[in-house]
Amino acid sequence: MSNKNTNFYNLIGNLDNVVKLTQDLSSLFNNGFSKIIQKEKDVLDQLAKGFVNSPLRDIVPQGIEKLQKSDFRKDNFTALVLATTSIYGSIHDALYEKAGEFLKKDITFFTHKNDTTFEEHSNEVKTLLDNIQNWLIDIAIRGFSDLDMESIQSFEPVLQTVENHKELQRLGVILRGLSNEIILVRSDTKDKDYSIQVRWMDLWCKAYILTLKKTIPAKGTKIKGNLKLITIQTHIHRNFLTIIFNGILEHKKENIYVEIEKSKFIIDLIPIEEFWFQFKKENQKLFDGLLKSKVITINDGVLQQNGNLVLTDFKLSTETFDLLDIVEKSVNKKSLLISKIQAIDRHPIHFKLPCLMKIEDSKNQSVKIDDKEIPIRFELQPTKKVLKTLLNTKMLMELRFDNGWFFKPLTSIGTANVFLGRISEKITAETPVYSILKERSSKILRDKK
Amino acid sequence: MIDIKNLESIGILNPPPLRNRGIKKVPFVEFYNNKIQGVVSSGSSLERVYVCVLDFNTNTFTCHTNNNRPCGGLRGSMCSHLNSLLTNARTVDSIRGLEIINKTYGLTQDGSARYSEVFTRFQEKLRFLELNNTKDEYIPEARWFYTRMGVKK
Repeated sequence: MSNKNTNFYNLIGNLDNVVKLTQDLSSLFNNGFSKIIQKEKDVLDQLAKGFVNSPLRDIVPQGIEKLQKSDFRKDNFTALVLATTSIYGSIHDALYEKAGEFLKKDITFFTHKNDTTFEEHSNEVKTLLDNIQNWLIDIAIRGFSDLDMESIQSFEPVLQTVENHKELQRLGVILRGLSNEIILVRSDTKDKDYSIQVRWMDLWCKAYILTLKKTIPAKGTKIKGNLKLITIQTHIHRNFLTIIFNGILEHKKENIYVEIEKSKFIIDLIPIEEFWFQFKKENQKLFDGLLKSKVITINDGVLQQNGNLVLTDFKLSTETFDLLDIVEKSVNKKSLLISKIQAIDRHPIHFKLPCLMKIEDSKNQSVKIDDKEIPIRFELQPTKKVLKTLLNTKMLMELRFDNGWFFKPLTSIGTANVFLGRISEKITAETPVYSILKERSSKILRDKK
Repeated sequence: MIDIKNLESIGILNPPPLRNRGIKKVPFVEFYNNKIQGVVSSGSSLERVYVCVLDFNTNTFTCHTNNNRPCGGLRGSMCSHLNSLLTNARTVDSIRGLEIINKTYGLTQDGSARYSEVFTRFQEKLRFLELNNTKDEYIPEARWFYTRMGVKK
């Protein structure tokens, strides 16, 4: 696999060192640039050295040198953000290379013809983005660990404007999540774990990069073919509920591992269970395809650069499929393609590789490959009883990376029907909170306007 | 540094409501800054809601419409809206609800006090219902956020 950014590794060594560098950078963000110590200046030095032979060889070292001298102008933070984005892209690419080595797999990518483009924002949006940059820089100078409530609350009016702006939805989601994350996690000593703090820098950098230029997502690739949905994942965060359908798409005689992702803001007033129902209402055919193992025929759809499938014209066919059969025939074969993620979105967290694995040891909850012990992390930790039933059964998992390798179990092939049955129960239990609030909202909010 | 008391004061740590709450009658209730406060629906009009507050800082209670008009049911004792608020407050946090509700006997009416910020806080939560409708862009970063439930480290 080609890697355009390998010069970074040549200079500072192996993947572990590069990951360690991002962790050290994250500590700097937590402590704050205004209180930078010599050890953190050394980390910035190391970062700058990584770019001496790259197209960023001028802008990055110069910007970093100025930050070391407490010159906190925007251009210098921009240089730092370009550097971190480049590093994350490099790590993302290197992970596939490493994963291929230890799983002894040839990983092949579905490549798209076009890529993301950028253009200037309108002047009105630029002013708003300037305010956001100022806030981001302010909290980086002060340090995440030393923020008071005022510094978050004072940003609220700007944040609401961003959230209501159609062009800035993605930025709004990131900023809402980041600000609430900082408030919540800083207050709870149990949550002050390392991985969360690393994520803050990631979110900060992503928000900053989205303030620089207007990102025009690549058009993706037009798709026709059959889709077999093999599992569903959920991700429950304080602010968002995300569901992801995973499936195998047959397109022009190729099998591509795809996902269809849907997210909603969580609203305190609505029980989580009700969100399931909303997802079901809006995605009835997809749930039917998954729960009844029915093939979905796509007449018109787009596979986006990041592997997300957007369907515009599709129907449920009468043809059914066997879950184990489709997983064994596709996931474990070299012919399975992974969609190559667009450069701007390459990040270690988006690395994923489907595998068919077994949990052999319920106590340690890990998978041993050669001399590597790779932990298993469930999204929701199952009870001991459930875990016992999963022992030694074939499970569809994703190999992932988040400050270290781990396997994320998706579906136990043997007990998939039980799992999907539970999902089915969840999504049929309608309670009226959502519709009542929706009614209130449409009356009250519109009257106010 | 942010402390937990501050967080409570802006309502951010309020637990999510339980399922058996009477959402139709009381769409919004919270414990906030040593107060029980919320929004109670009018029985006669969808557009009208009542802002109800039991303020343990001033030991007073009040009820007024979202347009700041006084509630006709307030006659020295708590009106039906305030009683509905209290009943639902117990379903939000039964322990804290009981503790506070036991203190309600010493409260007196302050019919002139206005708490328009309660209605604003309710609207703020409703705003996300509207945002969900427009959030059609694929946002991979939604997954960057830490799952708070059962992640094995």
